[in-house]
Amino acid sequence: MSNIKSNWDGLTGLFSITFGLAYGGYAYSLPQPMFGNPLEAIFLPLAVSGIAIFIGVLLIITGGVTPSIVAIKALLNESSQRKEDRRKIAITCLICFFYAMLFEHVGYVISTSLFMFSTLTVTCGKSFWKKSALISIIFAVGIFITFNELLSVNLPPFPFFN
Amino acid sequence: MDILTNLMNGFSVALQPYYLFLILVGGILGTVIGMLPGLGPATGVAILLPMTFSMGPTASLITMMGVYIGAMFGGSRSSILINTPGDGAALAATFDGYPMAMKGKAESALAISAIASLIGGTIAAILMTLMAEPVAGLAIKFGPAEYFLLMVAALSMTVSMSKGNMLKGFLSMCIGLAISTVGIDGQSGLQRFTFGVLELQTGIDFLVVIIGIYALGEVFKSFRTLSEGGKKAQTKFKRIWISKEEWKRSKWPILRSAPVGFIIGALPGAGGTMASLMCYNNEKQLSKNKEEFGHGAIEGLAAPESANNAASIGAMIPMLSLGVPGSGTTAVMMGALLMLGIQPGPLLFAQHPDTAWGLIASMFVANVILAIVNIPLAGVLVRLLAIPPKVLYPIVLSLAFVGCYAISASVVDFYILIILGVAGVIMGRLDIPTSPMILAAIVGGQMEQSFRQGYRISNQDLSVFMDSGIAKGLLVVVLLSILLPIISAIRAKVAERKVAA
Repeated sequence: MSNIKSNWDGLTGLFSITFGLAYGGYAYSLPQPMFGNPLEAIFLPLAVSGIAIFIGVLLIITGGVTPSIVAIKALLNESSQRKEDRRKIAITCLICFFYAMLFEHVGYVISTSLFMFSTLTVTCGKSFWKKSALISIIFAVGIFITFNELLSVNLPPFPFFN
Repeated sequence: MDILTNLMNGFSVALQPYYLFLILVGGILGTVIGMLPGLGPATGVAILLPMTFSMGPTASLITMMGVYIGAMFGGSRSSILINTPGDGAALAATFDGYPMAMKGKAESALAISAIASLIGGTIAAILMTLMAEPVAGLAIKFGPAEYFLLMVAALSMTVSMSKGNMLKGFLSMCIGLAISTVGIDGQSGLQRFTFGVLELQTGIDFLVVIIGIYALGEVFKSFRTLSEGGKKAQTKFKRIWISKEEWKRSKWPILRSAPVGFIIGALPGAGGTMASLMCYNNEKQLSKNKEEFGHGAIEGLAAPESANNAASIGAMIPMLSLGVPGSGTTAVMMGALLMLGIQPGPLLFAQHPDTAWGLIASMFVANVILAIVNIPLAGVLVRLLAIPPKVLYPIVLSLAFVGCYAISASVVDFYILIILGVAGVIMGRLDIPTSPMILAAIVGGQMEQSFRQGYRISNQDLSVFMDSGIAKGLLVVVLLSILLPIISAIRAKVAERKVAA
């Protein structure tokens, strides 16, 4: 197996088939429209589903499954630096989700300051915290004023103001 | 003569002090974003889009044009000084631009890149002036069947550009088409793939798809370079200009590459990266000093720089004349136009001549302004490269979220943005190209509606999609774009086997 060149084609093919089946199945189970040709609304979804399944099969045939297994093993055995990069992406995604949850409840300035501070801590490290805090607050306030006052885009205000 | 009159009217719009100011501000912001490694013009226009919300359509488009051309100018700065392209289109500038900087010729490299961009952009703007209205005139003859086939052709060409990954290109297209089917179906009123989420009833805005893939996805991917540490850029320069000898060597490569870049840029999905790489290779073939290429040949920098700027203007042709975006950046611009109630396409020139011709005139003006900004002020602008990416990336993330909120005022789009950002990283890892997905998400809805209109008008007779001459021509384009890469791949394999035998 060590001589086999790794690629992701097999795994991508498997994903493509799963996606095609799930998407097509869901489209087929949609209620029929009240008027017109009942199948018209699902023409495109069914065609997309068919193409995805066909492409998936072709990818598995041309790429094979073993190179994908080799690629997964190579991914798991990557250097600790690469694993650390992935961990940073995962943490940043979690921060983004928390940001989305807080955004409308605590307002733009507070949520963005927290978001910026957290992401700066991920990218710059904890020792940078004073500068991170300063950049976060200046950025959040600056953008809030620019959007609300200059661009007439209303961002969620502070929770204690109406 | 009509074209000249219209262009003059366009100049009377673009040369107003307010619009000149917008081009200047947009151009400087675009240059700054274009310089940042990994962030190209599409990201620049997407995250600066909210800036244009309080403007009218003409001002909005002109500002975006400034950002777009500025980002194209700026992309090569980081290529030349730190060997890290701002985006794909600036990749070819690293081949000879960085070696020139290493040899102490950073000033010549920065100057020739700006001069080549100016000349390439101006030639492309002239071609755009001549071609935009005739192409739009042809598009008026399009019915629903022809529009459907035009979008299929755009998709198939984009997929066929996914070199070596055509199957994955098709998968990417399927995902994009699936995204375009979310929401209430315009013709039957049926809710599709909304999963009971109220905000999904209006569908997923393609600007959210673009920001997710280009801004979040690219920043996530760039986390890898954070651990590798940035390269220090030269920030002190002598006079930024070129010698007579350097101009002599560069002028023909610049003039040859501009029309090629323009034509490639006008093809959906091809874009600046392909144009600049192709022109770099052309010049290498034509040059008497082939061995200098890759070691600081000035023509190796001039040709791709001219081509990529010309391509960025060529990409405006399908968007303005046909209503089908030719690149990620023009897709964002098209989204902005739609939000302002203007439908790009063949009727744009008839219904909104000020906007259409003002935009075309602003291409000329923006190229001149950006050259003025980029030559004497290059030393000041490149100081931004000294700001560490680890500080810039959180700022870009935050701007992406605020841009998304400005589009829809809904945090549901934040979740979609995050999912698409992660999808961008995974797709990059699996070698799945993202351009077909983005284009499919943009044209999918209109493509489906055109198909169903054509199908109904013809009393459910599919031959309507093969009846007219335009339809037949488009079908040939679709078939060729799918079959040619397959045939060339088979021929390459046969040749490989012959060599092995």
